[in-house]
Amino acid sequence: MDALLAGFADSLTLSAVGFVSLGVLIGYVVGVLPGLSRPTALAVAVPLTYYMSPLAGIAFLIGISKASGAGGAITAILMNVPGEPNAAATCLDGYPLARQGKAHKALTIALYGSVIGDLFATVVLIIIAAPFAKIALAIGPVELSAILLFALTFIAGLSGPSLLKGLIAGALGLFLATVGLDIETATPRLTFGFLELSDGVPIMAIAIGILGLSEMILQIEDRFMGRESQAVHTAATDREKGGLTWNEFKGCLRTILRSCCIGTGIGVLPGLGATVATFAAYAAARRASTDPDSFGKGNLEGVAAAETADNAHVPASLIPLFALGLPSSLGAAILIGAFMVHGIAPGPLMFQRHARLIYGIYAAMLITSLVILVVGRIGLEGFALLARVPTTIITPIIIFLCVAGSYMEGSGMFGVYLMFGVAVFGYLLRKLDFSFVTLLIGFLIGPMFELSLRQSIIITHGNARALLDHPVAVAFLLLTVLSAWHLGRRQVAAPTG
Amino acid sequence: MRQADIRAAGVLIAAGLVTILFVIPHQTTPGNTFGLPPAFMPTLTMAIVVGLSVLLLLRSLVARKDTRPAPILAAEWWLLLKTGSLMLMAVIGVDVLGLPIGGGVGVAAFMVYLGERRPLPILATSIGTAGAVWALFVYVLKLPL
Repeated sequence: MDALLAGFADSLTLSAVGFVSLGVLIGYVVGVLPGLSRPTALAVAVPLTYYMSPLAGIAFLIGISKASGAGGAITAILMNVPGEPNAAATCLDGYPLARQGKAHKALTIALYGSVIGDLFATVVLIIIAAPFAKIALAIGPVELSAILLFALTFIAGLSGPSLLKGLIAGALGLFLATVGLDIETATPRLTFGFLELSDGVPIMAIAIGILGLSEMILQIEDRFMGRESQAVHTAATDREKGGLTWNEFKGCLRTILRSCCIGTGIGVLPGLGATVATFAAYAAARRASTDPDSFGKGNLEGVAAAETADNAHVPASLIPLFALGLPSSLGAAILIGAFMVHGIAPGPLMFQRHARLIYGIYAAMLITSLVILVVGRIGLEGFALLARVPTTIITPIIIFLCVAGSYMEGSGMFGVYLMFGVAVFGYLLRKLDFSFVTLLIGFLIGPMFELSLRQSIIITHGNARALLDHPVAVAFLLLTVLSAWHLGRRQVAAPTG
Repeated sequence: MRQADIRAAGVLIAAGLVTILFVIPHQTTPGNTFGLPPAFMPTLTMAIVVGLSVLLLLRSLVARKDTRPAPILAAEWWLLLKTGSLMLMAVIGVDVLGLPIGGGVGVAAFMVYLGERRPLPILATSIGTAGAVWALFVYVLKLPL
């Protein structure tokens, strides 16, 4: 109880609330700007947290993560351009509503849906993460190895068009994680004489290179190849004078609550991103509606469903991160990096060793929801103007921020050169349909996987029969095989790459 | 994509075998007499990469020819070369001139590369961004540049 009160008190300080608010403002800007995604912004922002307290740093990043979802709705509704891929479902009904002069209604229901979804999933996180962590503490290295293997296979199958390529990317990520001092002998491994690699490949060089800089290369390519999104500005001026009425909000409430459950449920499962959550919630809302034909033509429930599920996904994806140390999404994977740079290993032990920090993060997450509501209510139209900033200005600034962020990590220019190489590699991965998400997650869980695998081999004396003493591990290994078979078969049936 | 997959698998198999046979033995120590050697995990993961790449190669070889365009067109390779060279020059500029000046020049260069020709936005964006990052480092993070 002391840790709970202390944690909540920590997050109510001026500096913590200030960093949350700053994160929310940046998140809104990120969400509004087409092409700048949530993981990219998180990767670029992590180095900024080095010099903050762990609570302020994590709260700042969570503010960015949550608000970018809410901000993505603005361009989706006003310009039919999803600021984030997750906002694509919002376009379906948001843009028709804007064209009917109901942009303000659509923006308001999107904001309320976002905040309610976010609050719901945050409360679920608070309630179930700690009990999950207690169960997780009973998990030994053999079980943990099997769980990590299952998660990586599942993510590999779902995050790209080819399971095989996803698994290759995951194995490459695990390989990259072996660079640095060997965990058992503390001797250099694959460092090629570079002292900068003694602590392993710099996390931020990999994250910023793959997510940030390679994305910028792709955007520059799209611009020169004539594939840049042509935004159609609309509705901001001819919007209806009246706002959302209570009856309209009440009419959407059932959809919002249903979407809360869908977004939270999908957020907990590894690999199923927020885009899946938004489209699943949208489809469920349409199925449950008495007027399904109005979906796609400007139905408020369509906007509410997509936005609620999108924002419920973010806190829900932190449940496996906090309880098991397992990132179930790219955003959560980057948060692992942020925890690690502050010397905190995410996972069940975090509830024992850093209970005060955890409760502080919980409180900061609740505060973030309120700040999103306030900032959203005040600044919706102001943020909408940001969408008109041209890419000729935005892209060079982001490239510079990538360089500065990588420089800041501590390895200086070594990290910057490395990031540049990783960016080109990331570009090729994306173009050739190798899942960069799986590579990054493999890289981040690599040290944990190696440690648990080595311990498992010692415990079982390398004897596969000894696995029978670990039924949970056997169950997860079977699940791994089954999911690989199912996902692989599905992709063979519908080849995409 | 089929041709690209064959080439990608070929490169991965070759790179993987070189890593297993030459790089890992030279870049790891023998380790202790007990436990697993330091080379265990790198070798295991790279062997998985090679094994899966062989599967990808075989699958691509037996797959029907597809009519879709290559994942990276010739024009895109050329653009990658141009953009990559400019990025590398910008990084070298930061290395030589320092983060604020090199970064500011890099921002201006990229704006011109992307088609911006108006001097005022170029100057304002490059100086503003470099100045903001300099102020962040020196005054907020207390890191000398």
